[in-house]
Amino acid sequence: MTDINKKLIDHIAHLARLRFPEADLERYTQKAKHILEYVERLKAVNTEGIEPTAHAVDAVGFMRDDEAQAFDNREAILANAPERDGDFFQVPKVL
Amino acid sequence: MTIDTLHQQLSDKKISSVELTQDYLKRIATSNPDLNSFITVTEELALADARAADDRIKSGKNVTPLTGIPVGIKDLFTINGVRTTCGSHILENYTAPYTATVVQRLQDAGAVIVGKLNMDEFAMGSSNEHSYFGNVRNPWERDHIPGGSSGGSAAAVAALQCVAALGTDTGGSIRQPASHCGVVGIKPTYGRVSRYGMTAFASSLDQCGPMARTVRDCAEMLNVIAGFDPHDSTSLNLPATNFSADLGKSIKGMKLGIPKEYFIDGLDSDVAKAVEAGIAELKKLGAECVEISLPHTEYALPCYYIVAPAEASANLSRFDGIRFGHRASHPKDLRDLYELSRTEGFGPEVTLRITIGTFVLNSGYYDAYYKKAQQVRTLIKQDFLKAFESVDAIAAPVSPTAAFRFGEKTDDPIQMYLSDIFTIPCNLAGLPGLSVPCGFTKDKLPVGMQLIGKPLAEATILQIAHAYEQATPWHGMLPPGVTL
Repeated sequence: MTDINKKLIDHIAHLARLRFPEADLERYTQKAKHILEYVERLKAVNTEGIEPTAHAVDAVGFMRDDEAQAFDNREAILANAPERDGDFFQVPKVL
Repeated sequence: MTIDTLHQQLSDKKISSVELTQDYLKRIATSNPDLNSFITVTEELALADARAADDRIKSGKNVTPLTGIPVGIKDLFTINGVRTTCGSHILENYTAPYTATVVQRLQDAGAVIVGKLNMDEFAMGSSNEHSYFGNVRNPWERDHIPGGSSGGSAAAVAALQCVAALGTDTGGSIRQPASHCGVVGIKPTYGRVSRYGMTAFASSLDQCGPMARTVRDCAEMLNVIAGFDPHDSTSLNLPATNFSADLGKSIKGMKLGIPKEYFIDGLDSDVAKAVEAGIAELKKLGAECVEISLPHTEYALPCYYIVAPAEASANLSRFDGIRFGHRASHPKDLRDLYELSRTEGFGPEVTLRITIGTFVLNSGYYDAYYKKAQQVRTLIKQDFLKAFESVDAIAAPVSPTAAFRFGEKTDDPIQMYLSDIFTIPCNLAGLPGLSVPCGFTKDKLPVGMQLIGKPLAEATILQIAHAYEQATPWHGMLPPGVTL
């Protein structure tokens, strides 16, 4: 059983681009610990030689030709931008 | 009022779609402050759809059973030009630039879109208590939850705010609220219905389906929304199916499996009684009921709580505050922008599931959690396939209890998750499942019976449910204060 502690959850939060203040970190650590302990019961199942299932239906995931298609509602996409500069999405300085 | 009755009245010109739509908009205006089932009412769009429907009916061209019928859409399907929130603060001001395939198909059939329905944030929840836009109240008992995550859809149909609605079901989100609100809801086989324009939660489990007051209405809705869509790479390319074709046919001689693992400690006695009475009725109708075993049932919930958060954590990474959605004010740099926007934008349950999902996919834990869960998923699927070698369908409870009170399970996530213990296996195996009303508890809360079918056998479970429904009084009952 992995030790689910605040340091680990803080690291996971960073990977998920989330940030927990101290009080929230404690709460999320407790809840995550509770759930991850619960799912541990899968260990009781013998899965040796069992193929993993990623999709329940086998016949999924078809390919199509990689061709550009016109989208005629461009302005409606840009209109959702929290900040924009003309036709560009604006972000804080990166470098 | 059902789709076929209203269709007849519209065709006979006894009522126009505009009049019908105004009537439903009035019902929404009256009851929504109390129920909170709608996040957005699309009055202008509805009246425009209704006028177009009336023109179609007048010309007699392209009239379908749904032409002119008011329907509601769970607020995680996009409609071009309409706000789509997914019940989340992060999308509070998002206006979709395109329309989901299922909504487009409803509009092409002439349906009238009356609004966007409340839901647990990003469909994560079983009680509708995780919506940024507040709780939906159960029309049968106001201090009880409507179920979730399609709680707004179920409540709106039960309270006659719309004739039918679209929901989505990742682990029971159509069937459980349908059961709790006394309506019919079906989750089709994975791949039957397009997911294009349906905001992704867990992509290998998510499936859209209809909710309505009768089995026939659900079949009519499914006839319109199902079918191949080149915009969804997991859409099944199959010939069109008529889901109402077998309604009314006898179920005599059909073999139904009753899984012993679904009748366990923790199953509420009133719920057990209602479902057992439902099974007895199916026997009376000529079905043969036999006990079966689905031995890995107890592992479905822990399996789901690895697979679903894992997929969710990947899907929800798109909400980054850059192109759309909430952006934190005054971020120092790009990382600050991502972290603050996401932390401010997501509610606690979504945040928890992203955390769990990121953890189980993290290198070092992947094999122990995610791969293990995928292997268990194989075993759960095999249980069903084996059972279906000897039975035509499976009958079981939908949820271990009827609708519970607000706040009753909010502190303990596992207690909340347990309300989906009987619906989750179906999603893991990709099978069709439905909930049909089968009675009430002592406290007058609705109970649903679940029917699970073989892959692509929606028509069979609809046939069984219809036979049951026609032999019982439940579908005709309305919540207190609701009148036709």
